[in-house]
Amino acid sequence: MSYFPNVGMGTFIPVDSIVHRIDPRVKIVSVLLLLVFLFVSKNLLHLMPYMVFTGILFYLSKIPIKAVLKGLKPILFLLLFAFLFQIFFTPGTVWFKIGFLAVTKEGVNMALLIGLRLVLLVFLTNLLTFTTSPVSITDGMEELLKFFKFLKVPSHEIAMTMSISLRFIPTLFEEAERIMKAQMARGAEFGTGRFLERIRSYIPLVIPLFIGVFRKAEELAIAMESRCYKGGEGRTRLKKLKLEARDYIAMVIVILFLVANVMWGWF
Amino acid sequence: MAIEVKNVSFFYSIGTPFEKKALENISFSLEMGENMGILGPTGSGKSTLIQLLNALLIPTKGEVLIDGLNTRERKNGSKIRELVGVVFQYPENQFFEDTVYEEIAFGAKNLRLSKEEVDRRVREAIAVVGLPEAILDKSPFELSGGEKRKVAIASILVRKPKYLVFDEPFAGMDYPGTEALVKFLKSLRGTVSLIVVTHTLDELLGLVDKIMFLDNGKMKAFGPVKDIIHFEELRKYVPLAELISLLEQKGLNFQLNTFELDHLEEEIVRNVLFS
Amino acid sequence: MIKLIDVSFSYGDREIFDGINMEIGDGEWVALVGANGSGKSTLIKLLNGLLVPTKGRVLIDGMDTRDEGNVWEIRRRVGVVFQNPDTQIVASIVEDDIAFGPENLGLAPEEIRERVEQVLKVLRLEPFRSSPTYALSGGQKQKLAIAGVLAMKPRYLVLDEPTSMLDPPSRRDINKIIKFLYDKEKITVVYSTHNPEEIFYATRVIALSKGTLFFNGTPWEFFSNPERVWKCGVKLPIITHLCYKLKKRGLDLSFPIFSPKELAEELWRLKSKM
Repeated sequence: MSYFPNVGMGTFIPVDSIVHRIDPRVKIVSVLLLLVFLFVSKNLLHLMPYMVFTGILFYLSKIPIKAVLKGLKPILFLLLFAFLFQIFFTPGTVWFKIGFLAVTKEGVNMALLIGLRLVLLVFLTNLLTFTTSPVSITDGMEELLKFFKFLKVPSHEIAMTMSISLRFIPTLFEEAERIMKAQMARGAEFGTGRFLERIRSYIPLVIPLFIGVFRKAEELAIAMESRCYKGGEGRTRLKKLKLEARDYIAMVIVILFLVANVMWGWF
Repeated sequence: MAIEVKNVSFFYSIGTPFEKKALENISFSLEMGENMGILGPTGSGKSTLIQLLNALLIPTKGEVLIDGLNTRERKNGSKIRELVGVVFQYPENQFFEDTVYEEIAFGAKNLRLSKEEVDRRVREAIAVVGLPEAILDKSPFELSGGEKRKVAIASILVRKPKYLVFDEPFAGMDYPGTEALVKFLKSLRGTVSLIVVTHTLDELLGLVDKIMFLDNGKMKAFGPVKDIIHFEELRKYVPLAELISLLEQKGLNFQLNTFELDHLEEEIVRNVLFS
Repeated sequence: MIKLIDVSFSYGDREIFDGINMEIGDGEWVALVGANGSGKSTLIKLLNGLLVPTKGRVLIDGMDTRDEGNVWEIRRRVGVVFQNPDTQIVASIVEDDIAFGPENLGLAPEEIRERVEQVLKVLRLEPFRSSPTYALSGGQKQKLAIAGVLAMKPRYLVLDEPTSMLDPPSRRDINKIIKFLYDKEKITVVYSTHNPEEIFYATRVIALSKGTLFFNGTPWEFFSNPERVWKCGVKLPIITHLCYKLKKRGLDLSFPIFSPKELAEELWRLKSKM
């Protein structure tokens, strides 16, 4: 495990909390709704309730603060870029100048707005993935996608593909590492030289990996067929998602929060 | 000229919550020309040890020296990988070239040899593993299981290693395949030092001079085959050792330095018929 | 009962079998042997309708595998475990994977739960029920593959070299389980292998060679002819091999001998006579 980070099972953090126990469908819908409303709010002040609300949810989820902040790491660069871009390139009333760069009031406002939105976007999606196992997410997705059946969305197939991909990610990383080491034993060096050479140096890794994936896919398909898999039709589930009182309550709270927020914006 | 492993420990993911001890305080040496087998259940640290020998892993503590070169020094890496060739488990899974020729040549080209030298070595390697030159133009993917395994071995031999490590060379082979491979490995003895990691005990015993027994990251035993065979934990898996100890109890006297079946046959015939 | 009547099979123009006949009755344990490429895997795929014969018929309890309507019932009855532990597991969590077969059968969730619990218990997998499947060892994965098949309550357990990628302790573990299922759950076993120890569990050995039925008899009979054993891609147990070599040198030993103790005693007897 020395060449690849441990990304296996997403970022699910299995602790017991009320947020963890909420039905994945409720969580997925809530996060989507919150994100939509977050991105249509144009006023910095209106973002404050979202911050408080997200904060409360994180507090209830018992996710360690360290993990929460760490979630920001991958977008730090993007965040900084968006922030600086907005500050310096939004036209409006000049507040002060740094050399030839003018900082406008509108710019500062925009930068904070966009930055905060990005941070909240990451926090909310992480809240979902931290508190919901990948298996539950795919199960939830499958159920939700059923609403779009009239559009002929293959909800079962999409969910099955997702869950098998999740299942095989760790296997693929292991395989990649094995092949890499075998090629290094034959004197291969990865990622050295100039641009084209560098790309070419990965051929001895990529080709065997692909061949392996196809072979595995075939073997898996045979094993699945042998276990009577014939698509989603007539298939039942061991764990049926069932909405309980707390799930309804959670959904109502989220909706009330959004309604209140919208009304505050109007009046 | 030797492989020297001095007080080596290895930890995976050191400093993280996933930290895992794989090897603990291992020391041994193997002179050029000696052949050794490594035994141990899954998770005993065998594959970690292999990777330490050709600098794919660097010890957390201790030193690994290959002909005096320390694996810890980055600049030694490629020289060490030339000296120590490793044939990993299911080596045919690493094929990526269009022809057997290119597949074998890959390892030699990485040594930055001249075109002529690469060509000479490829033809030599394919002869050593006992395949016809005509196979060089074929695709490595259309060969039989046994042929694939041989081509994979040739793709390491082409680098002319002094120490040749095999990780489970018999995995997935049936009897004629295994037998042919054992015969081939025996033919390599003398030209290289073999280090063979396997569960297939019967084959191994006839092949090597020294045996190491690893368990849970610790070296439980290391020594010449004929001594280690009396090692309790091992003997129950070695019917031949049990046979010999039973016969010795009855007063027969064996002069054994290997566990090759032919040699054993001779010893028994000598003992039963002529003494 | 499994019945093959005059079965031929070819992939395109590559012929694998030509006119094979065999019967496997309830309560048998058949070891299926043959060198690599002798058609063992193909035969196994014919047994559950993954492949259908180009000529002849394969009948599972009287149901023809060529009849589309029978396919799912046949696959339920004939549970197949394959060689590679890594490519048989569908779900990320152990108990979800066991449930996969019953879910495909469309059973009620309570029934699925009951079967999962039962299988977890029989195979002693309870401590792993919520474990992620990728973290299991090869032996545990293979155990899970057996569990997934058992949850469909098959009559026949067909295994295609299930231990060839495992180390000896895991191998013994898997064999112990199959022995248990055979003895206690009265399941019929078809087990393809190269390993001599595994052949000894069987009540009957069926050997394939070059697309024909090459041998059909008890393990004891099978091992009594070393040339035949080797031709089938099987190693002779090492003591038996030594015994054979000594016999060829003119020592008057009985054959086959399997245990070190027995060989030691025979050798001692010979020596005493000298």
